[in-house]
Amino acid sequence: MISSIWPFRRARASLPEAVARSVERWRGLAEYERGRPPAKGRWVVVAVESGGLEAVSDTLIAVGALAVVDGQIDLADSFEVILRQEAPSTVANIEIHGIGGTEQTQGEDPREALAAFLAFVGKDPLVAFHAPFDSTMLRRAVDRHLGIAFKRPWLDLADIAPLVWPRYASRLSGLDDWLETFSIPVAFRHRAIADCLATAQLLLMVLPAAAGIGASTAGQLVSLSGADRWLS
Amino acid sequence: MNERQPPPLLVAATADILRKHAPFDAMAEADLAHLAGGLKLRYFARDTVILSPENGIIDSLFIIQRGAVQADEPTQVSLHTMAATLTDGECFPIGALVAARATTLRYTALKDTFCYVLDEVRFKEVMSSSPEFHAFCTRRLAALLAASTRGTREAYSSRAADELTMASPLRNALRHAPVTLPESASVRQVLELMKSRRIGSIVLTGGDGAPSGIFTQTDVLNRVALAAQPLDRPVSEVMTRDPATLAAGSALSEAAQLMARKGFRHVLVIEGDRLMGVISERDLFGLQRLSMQGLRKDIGRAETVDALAFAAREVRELGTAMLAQGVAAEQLTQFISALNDAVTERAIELARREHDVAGIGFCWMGLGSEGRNEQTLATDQDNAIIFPDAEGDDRDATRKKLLAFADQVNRALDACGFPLCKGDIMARNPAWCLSLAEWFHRFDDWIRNSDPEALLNASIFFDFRALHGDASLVDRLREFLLAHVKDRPVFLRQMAANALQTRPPLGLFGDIVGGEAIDAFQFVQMLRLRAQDSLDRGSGRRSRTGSTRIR
Repeated sequence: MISSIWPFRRARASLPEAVARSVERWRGLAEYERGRPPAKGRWVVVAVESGGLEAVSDTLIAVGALAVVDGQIDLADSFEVILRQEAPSTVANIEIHGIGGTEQTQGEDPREALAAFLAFVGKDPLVAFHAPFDSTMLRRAVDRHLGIAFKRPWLDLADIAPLVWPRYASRLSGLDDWLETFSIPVAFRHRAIADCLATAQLLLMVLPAAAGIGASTAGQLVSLSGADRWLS
Repeated sequence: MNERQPPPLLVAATADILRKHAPFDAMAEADLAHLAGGLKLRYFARDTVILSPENGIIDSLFIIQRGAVQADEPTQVSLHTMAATLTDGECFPIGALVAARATTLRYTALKDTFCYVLDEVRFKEVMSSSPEFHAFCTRRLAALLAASTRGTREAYSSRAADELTMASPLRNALRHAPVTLPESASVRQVLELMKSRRIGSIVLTGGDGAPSGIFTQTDVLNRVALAAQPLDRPVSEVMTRDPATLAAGSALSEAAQLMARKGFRHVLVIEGDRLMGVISERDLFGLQRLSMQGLRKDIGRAETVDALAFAAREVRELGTAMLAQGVAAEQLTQFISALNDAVTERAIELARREHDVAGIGFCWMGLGSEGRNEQTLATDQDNAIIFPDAEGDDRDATRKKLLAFADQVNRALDACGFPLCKGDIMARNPAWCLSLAEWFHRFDDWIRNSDPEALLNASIFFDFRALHGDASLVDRLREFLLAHVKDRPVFLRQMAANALQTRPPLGLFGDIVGGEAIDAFQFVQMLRLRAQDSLDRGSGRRSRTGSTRIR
């Protein structure tokens, strides 16, 4: 697809000055070091909330992100934003993530919100449980609002956890199953930042075990995700 | 990124998890949020060493989110290894963190464990803003209680660095070089050396010169005297073999815990393979006074009734711990009274902030057991107010102000675990919030009319003591009482008879020293002695040893 090669499908001139600068800065950042040990350096756990469960058609409502640096979660190294919606999502949808209609229509300018998100994640590898959903939602939103391609390496814990704990693999599928098995507390499931905190705890358990599943570098661990998400 | 505040949801979620455990459950919302906002979260797979002496000076506090951590001695010095298991909500290593030293214990994850990590800077901020957290972290003697009830919890002090605390290393507490003899020495030689050196224990050495046993005063009783052992037998037959040892760098609290856990009274202190000395349970008891001082400062630092109530709870815990260790009841009641006084004083100070009573020059008095410094762990309030008779002033207006103020103090004390007096003998009762002249009148009345009620009142009210405010008012009341009571032999006789019917509380004539309280004691003692004297005279007997007779 031509759009995935050419990053400037939309006129970037339409972006506010500060946003354009921020995006440019992000594009100039160096890629993370694939050869570093998995337990070193920064991973960014990401979770999104959307207007529905269709990644290709629903809108992005909120993004949460939480960094894991050197095998440690720093609660303050975190990011949370609600994107301004023209119209609130359905009641049924609101009941899932708890972000009310007013909160949605009073959210932040999507361009500023996403530029801030890029600045937060930098070029560090991203982590999610069932990453294709989050990566697709973000790719579409970044493409639409910032006019650039958001193609990042994703570590999908839905793929990795069964490799680390094969004995659970057959009976655990969803994130909730894994959280319950490891008694990981989750304050407000389906609220992006709370999901991040729970997922990040799963990541903390995965990192020291990475070598045991044949990944001695961060790059190798990312590659172990079902498909290399780099180009997804 | 560390300057950023985490999203409120993360802070709230983390605070919710912490709040399931002490001391976080008692902390103010804002303090807990400040603490939670500074946390990092780490994971330790089973068998991972989390901290050990090799980590050097400790710069963060670990709080177990979930899991289990074993704390034990990393070295082989100790013959009796001590191990304790910490679980959800427990903090470590508080002692090393506040003392800015390396930990002496090794902490290992017993199962997959998540720990929150609080850096030193935020730790200190929370320590200074939250009296509850401060009290928790500096509660020293509570370590002993904790050791006997729920495993090792380090709870040390951050106070003056040169002050010997439960967190200090054992080497700082050794009072003299070790006294040793070869284990082939006779019991007689050992006893003679103990006598000449005035020491309670001797370390015995084996053929290689290394400590092989210990012999203490208790052993003299149990294994020599009662067992009728001849004194010329070698001491090796009656000594305790393989005495407990700790490295000289271990904290005093570790020695205390070891003693509490194993029931020893002595622990050998070793540096490398050299014997440095012996630390005894008695050495540690001396530190309880320091623990008291720490708690006293905590009381004075309480900014709210809630914080004060927390400190008062600590007083009771301390008392329970001391009682459990066999501290003499006299000493205990004295300690507890002193701390309870501090609580009362602080409750009054807090109430004064909200009531305009500064210009009145009143005095808050403790009565009865409170007046005699005989308070024990559970005691209800007995107090009263005395205020000056000012010329042309509206006495009732003054009383009204004081009553509102007193009501607040009485309720605060109630919240601190001193229940409201059932007989309503409290300062908030208009009958016991009186001017000096009114008190004179009241006392005079009781002395003249020695009916049962007057006697009862006299027995409560004549044991009075200034707790807060203008003590000269109380002195004048005492002078009045002394001057009037000596001409009333009938009253004194009845008082004495009354006193003899009830068993005197502990410690009344104990070896009590110090402070303003002496006056009250001496007074009551004198009063009773006089009463006894007049009773004896009345029955034609004389008492030469008044105090013991009364007992």
